[in-house]
Amino acid sequence: MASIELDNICLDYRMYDIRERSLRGLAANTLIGGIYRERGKITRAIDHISVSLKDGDRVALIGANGAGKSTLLRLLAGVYAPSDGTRSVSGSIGTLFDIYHGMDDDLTGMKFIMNHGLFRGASKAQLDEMIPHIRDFSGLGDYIHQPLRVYSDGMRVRLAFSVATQFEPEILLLDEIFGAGDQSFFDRATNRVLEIAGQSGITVFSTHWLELAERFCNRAIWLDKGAIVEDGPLQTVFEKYRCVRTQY
Amino acid sequence: MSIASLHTFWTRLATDLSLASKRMAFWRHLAHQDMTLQYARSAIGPFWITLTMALQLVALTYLFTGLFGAPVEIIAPWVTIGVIIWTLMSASLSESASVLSFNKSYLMEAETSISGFVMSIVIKNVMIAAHHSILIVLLFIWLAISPSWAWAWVLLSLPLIIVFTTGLGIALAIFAARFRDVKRVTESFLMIGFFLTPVLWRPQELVKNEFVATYNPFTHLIAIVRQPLLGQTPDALAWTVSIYSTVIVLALALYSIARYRTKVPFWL
Repeated sequence: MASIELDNICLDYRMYDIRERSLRGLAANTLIGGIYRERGKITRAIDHISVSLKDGDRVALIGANGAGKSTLLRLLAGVYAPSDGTRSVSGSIGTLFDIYHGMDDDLTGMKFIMNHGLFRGASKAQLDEMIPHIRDFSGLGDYIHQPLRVYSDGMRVRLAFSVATQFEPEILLLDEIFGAGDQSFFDRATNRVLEIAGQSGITVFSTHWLELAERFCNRAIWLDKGAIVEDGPLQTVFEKYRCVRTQY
Repeated sequence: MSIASLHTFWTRLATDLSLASKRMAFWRHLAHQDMTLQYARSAIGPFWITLTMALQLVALTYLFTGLFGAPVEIIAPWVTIGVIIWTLMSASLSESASVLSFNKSYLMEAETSISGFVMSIVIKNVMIAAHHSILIVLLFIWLAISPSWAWAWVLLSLPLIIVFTTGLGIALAIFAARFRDVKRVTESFLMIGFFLTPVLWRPQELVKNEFVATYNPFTHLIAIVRQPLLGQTPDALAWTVSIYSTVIVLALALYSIARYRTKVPFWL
């Protein structure tokens, strides 16, 4: 049973400017008596969000650039901790936020799989079992033994996606990853997400591509300036979102 | 501090440490990969570093026998053991100062452990030191030094300096995430530290300013490993200073994790 409860969550952080990021700057400022008093400006990235997600929810996160979609996903994943409010999550989490994450050019596909598998808590034995599946699903074939330097963008996406979803997380969090990859992989990827969602898990993914979201989401959350504008069944939220968007 | 904030304080610490231990296979793997990746295409692999080290040690021994007039069987073991331990600590510390920004993508991808990343750095440098230790073995064979029971002390002192280095590394890693120039500052300090610590020279050779060696925890941390290997009985002062320094550094590390763990992703 997977569930996510966010109760009145806020996320504030301080933006430090370049001077405040250096020890010399701090020392110099202290020496001159702290003339530059102002400390980094506090930014509110998430503004009183309450969400309750349960098994079977396939959520599309929509909203303009900078609305807080990625931040909310990272908050769900536990990368960021809320400044205020409570977050409770039950279920294993799989993430795919940055497809270039950990993609060192010198690594081979196999080594990348090892790195990521172990990072996500799989054992070496489990990985040995998974590697053929990952190779088949990604369609990389013998490229899996080549260094990532020779991979195209699409191949990287295929590899990253295959690794992230192979662990069958109960909660799958995806951030705008459907940009690259060819059509046939795209179909397999959407099927995979549907499959995971079908295994009574939770899927949340951010996108600007509403038609794609319509294919496999049943719920939408519309964010603006770190707050929820609308949360509900996909069609209802999308209708309102499209109305507002066409006004611009 | 209120009860609630004390609770989050402990929770953060517990999360970081439990993730560090749960993902041990990952930290070890990362350490191993870090070490081998650079040398993947050469036949002797990481022993390249050991070969470079051997050349350095020969040169240093040659220079220091000339400088202090002491015989080679005194200088060579002193310098060899000293440099290997110093390298273990200083390389771990300077790499700790950049480990978080270097692994930013991991830290932004899933909830993970700061102490774990520092541990992987220390593990890597311990593995490199293990390669280097072959030089100590060769040297002892060459000098026909027979095994001594005093060597057993190393089983205690080596873990102690590893804990010390990890603790200081964690504090440094977090500090360096907040302030970008900490890495450079660390490197300069380590450079000065190398000269101010009896790595190459021996404390009894100082004609004045003995405090440079006495009030330097690194002197004592190196001593507790080097003394037994040179067949000397352990020095109570060296052990006392080493244990106290380790406790202090460890407290600092745990405090930094508990206090700043959740801020680090915003700093990177």
